[in-house]
Amino acid sequence: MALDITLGQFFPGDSPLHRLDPRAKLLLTLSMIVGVFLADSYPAYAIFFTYVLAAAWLSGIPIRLMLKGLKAVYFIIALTFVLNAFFGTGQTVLVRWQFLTITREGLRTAVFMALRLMLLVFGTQLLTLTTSPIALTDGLERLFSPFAKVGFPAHEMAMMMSIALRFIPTLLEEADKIMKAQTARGADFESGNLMARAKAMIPLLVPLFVSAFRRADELALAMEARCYRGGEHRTRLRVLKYTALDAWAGVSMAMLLTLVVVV
Amino acid sequence: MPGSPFQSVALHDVSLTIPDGQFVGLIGHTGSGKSTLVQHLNGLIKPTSGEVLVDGQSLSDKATDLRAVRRKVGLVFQYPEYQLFEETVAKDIAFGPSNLGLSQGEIDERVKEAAALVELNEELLARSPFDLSGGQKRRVAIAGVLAMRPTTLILDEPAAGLDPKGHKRMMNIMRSLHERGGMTLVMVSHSMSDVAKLCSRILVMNKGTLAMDGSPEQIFMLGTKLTEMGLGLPESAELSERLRGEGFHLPPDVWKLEQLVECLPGLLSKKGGTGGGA
Repeated sequence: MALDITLGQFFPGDSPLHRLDPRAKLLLTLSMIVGVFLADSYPAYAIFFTYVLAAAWLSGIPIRLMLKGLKAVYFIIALTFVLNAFFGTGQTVLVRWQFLTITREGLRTAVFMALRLMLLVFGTQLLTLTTSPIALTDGLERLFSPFAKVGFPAHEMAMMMSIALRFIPTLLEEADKIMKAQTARGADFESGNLMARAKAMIPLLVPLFVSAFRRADELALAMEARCYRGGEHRTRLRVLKYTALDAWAGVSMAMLLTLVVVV
Repeated sequence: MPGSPFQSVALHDVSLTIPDGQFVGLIGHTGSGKSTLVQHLNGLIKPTSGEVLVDGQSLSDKATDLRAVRRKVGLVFQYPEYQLFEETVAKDIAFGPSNLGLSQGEIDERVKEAAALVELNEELLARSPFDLSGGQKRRVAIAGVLAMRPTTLILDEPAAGLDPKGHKRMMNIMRSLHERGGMTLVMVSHSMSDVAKLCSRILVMNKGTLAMDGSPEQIFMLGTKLTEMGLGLPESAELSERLRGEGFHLPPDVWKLEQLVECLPGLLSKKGGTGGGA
């Protein structure tokens, strides 16, 4: 009944990756995502994997934990691989069986797609594992703040995100508690067909929603009691600052992207 | 989460047997492991090492029917009113029995019986549980567990956050469940006074381990040890402790309010005779 979600959970530490400015990490991740789609040869992927694995090693996060996050997308990776392998078009036919054909080019795309997905999950996971949710939203708010001039609610969006993130553990804990309480009354969440299982969720979801609304109400009241009125003229406790470390990370990413495009 | 930096040991060195028909008070500081311990008692949490036996059956054993165990050992969580979900009070209380697959007649009977046990007015049964007061909601939630007809009932701070009237009422319900219903009760509490008044045995948890186990008399004689763990004594026990400290000759087994009322006049006149002006 343990509800643990690895994808997007902060792993505290003091590695160089942890110390990078969240804005820098966001931008680096973004450029990495772009880079992943530019890579178009086996050496390029080899370089990419070396980079990501080196970063993972630097972060000091157990590789086991990262593989656990990959587990959530195994199925998608396998499906993408199969679809690309069978339906990719190309000239050199490797296998032909009934209506299914596997071509060399199709297989190549399939392998690349699978590698891309793995890199994407690994890379973004490095971001969320080494950056606390608060730092992440802070970074996002600052990155989007130029758009505030054209009416984009950067602060409000960041506030909503941090509130949502802040309440994930609370709600998980609450769900766990309600689930246990209903289990103690003989509820069964695990067996039965789809309909039976969906129905079994009602005793869990109703109290969960009731309490989520109650919490939202209380939080809004508490914020208003402390005169919250959005982002205008707000100073912050932790001011984000770029350091030499961020510059070095940027240089390494630029080198990686150049290499990937060239190879 | 084993293996991560968040791993910690919640309980260690806890050995105890609760015989049928006992009313046990479980007391301890916040974070001492009380709630974790009670969740082991009906198999909601399984120990990573060690064993929990209910009627001789190990809860870690795969052959044990945990649902049957949970029918025998009812567990009322802290703030149980947050688990209410049905449209009416009656339906909510009926959730447990209907999971047992009972006939409608049997279910109705159990709902009425459980509601009566927690002193819920029958006209409330048709109302929505969300329209009730906090104390009423709490009693509905307890009735929901009682409707399973457990032989043992475990309650995690049943009186937390209730006003004095609701508090007193809850304690009376606990007492009658034990005395008239003949149930085995385990009550987690912060209040020494409640535990002292009701329970025949007190377990004290401290830092994840069972620190003391004994009758209220035995426990309260260790007054200073309790205060070291951040726990208070019942007011009457504290007063007798302080009187002893002031040099009054109070028998060591005196700590209840009634005993004090009996002893004090004699003591005061004696002290008055020697020291004067009492």
